[in-house]
Amino acid sequence: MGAVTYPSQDVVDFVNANFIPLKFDSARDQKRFNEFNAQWTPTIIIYDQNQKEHHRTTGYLSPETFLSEMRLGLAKMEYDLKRYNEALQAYKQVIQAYPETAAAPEALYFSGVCNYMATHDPSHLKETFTALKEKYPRSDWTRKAEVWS
Amino acid sequence: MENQIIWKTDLKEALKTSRKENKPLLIDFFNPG
Repeated sequence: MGAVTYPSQDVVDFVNANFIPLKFDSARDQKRFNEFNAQWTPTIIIYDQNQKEHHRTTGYLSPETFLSEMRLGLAKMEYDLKRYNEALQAYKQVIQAYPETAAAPEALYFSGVCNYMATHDPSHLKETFTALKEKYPRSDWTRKAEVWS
Repeated sequence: MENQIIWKTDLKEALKTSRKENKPLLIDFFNPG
């Protein structure tokens, strides 16, 4: 990550604007490594000020994949905090900016859930399944959404 | 505009800053080797 992803100016700007970045050397900080139940490196965790975890990735991420996953993580944080309108906007950003990444179908799935949670109108779920089937027909998120059809 | 990520290394300090700036932590466990 240090060689390619973290030097990327887009990554620098995004991380410094949206997070308080904290790094632990897995060898020197074994206590923290175990405390956070990290099993491999790199492990990246989005962790809020109330010490709740919202998203985690393991393994190398290219700059584009990193940005898509961190945006997804911020959306998940909003969702976990029951801020459904903010979560919906954040999920839409992932879908629009990173449509070819693994984060996009998950973001699309949860955009439907956010719409449903905000309105209790199940038609949002059916529309989301239709969109998932059209854009990401082989995604696990599409399979999960089949019950909404 | 910064040209590198400004990493903290102390959890307590990072949480204090997180509350002050209302931003979540991005925690990276890395292998220096």
